[in-house]
Amino acid sequence: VSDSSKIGRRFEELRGEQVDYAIHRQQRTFLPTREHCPLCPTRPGGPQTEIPFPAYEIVVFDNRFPAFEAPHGAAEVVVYTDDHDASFATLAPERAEALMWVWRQRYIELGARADIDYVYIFENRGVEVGVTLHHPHGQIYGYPFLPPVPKLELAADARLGGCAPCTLLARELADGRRVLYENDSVVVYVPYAARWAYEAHVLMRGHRPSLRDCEPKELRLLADALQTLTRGYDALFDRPFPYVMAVHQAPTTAVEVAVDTNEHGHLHVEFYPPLRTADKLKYLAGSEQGAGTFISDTLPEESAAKLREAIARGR
Amino acid sequence: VSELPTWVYPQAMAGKPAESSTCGPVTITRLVKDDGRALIMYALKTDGRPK
Repeated sequence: VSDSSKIGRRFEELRGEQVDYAIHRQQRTFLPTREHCPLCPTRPGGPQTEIPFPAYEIVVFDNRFPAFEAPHGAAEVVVYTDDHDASFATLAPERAEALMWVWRQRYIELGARADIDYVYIFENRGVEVGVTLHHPHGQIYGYPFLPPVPKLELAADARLGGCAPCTLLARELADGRRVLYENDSVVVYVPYAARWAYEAHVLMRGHRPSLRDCEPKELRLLADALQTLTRGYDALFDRPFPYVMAVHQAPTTAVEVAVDTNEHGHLHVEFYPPLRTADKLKYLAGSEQGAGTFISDTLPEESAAKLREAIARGR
Repeated sequence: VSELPTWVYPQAMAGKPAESSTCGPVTITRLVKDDGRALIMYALKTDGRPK
């Protein structure tokens, strides 16, 4: 990082990890009033927004305050709808299904770039997880390197002697106590060793490394499962439920791993909700930050039972 | 998209290939903002979803 560079990277030797700097993001728009929402349509006589049309369906644009940008990656914003008060959970099913195709198209296009090794689609929902714009949207980072978490998932493949998500899915289905929802193509469950009270993982039943490998029906059922879960989340405490939604897929660069998994990576979506009760947050504090050990206040099986009831109410 | 405001223009005007394409149930229109950032509009097709 230098004064002339807004984006840079340093290596933190003690943890053996890199830290990326995007200094200009300090100036990014922060919780504007709805009249000044940059993701709303540009209406006649109204302020100019990021989207210069009075109505739209789904829009992707380059982030004005990128953490990564060409020729060293990408940062995009994905706006789900022109309805400021909607959410992923309340989208019409056809719109949610279309969003899966948008994600797929961005994965393929960004993944084809030589400067992008990993395409990461995610959504931060709620001020509790640091949202700066309330309008329903997600983001896509095209990392110019393979980030640590996907790297750990590849290490899990090696440790388990095959595709780790395939193995874990089989275990969850055999146990059954933490399964929240199933359809023909997708299974949703609270993982055996969940870190967050209401953490949930959404897995493709078949080994699909990425959205690119999914059939149209599978994309439709993925949208169905994601909406079923997020509606259940909102029903759990009868309030908009904050979360981080993380779409994990195969890296878009060649990787070297110690085991043949018939293509590395298995499309799944992980949710990290910070609420442990209706009004109490789980904080990453001393043990989590200083020792790297997550201390959970809840049992995954008990959380799963509550979430199943909430999903039934939310449908 | 047919009536563009002054601060966006079709991708072809930025020296890139013009693309009007489809992807599953959506049509894709690629634009560029006057600051050079890409803007991609996705619209649901009216002729049904892929099976």
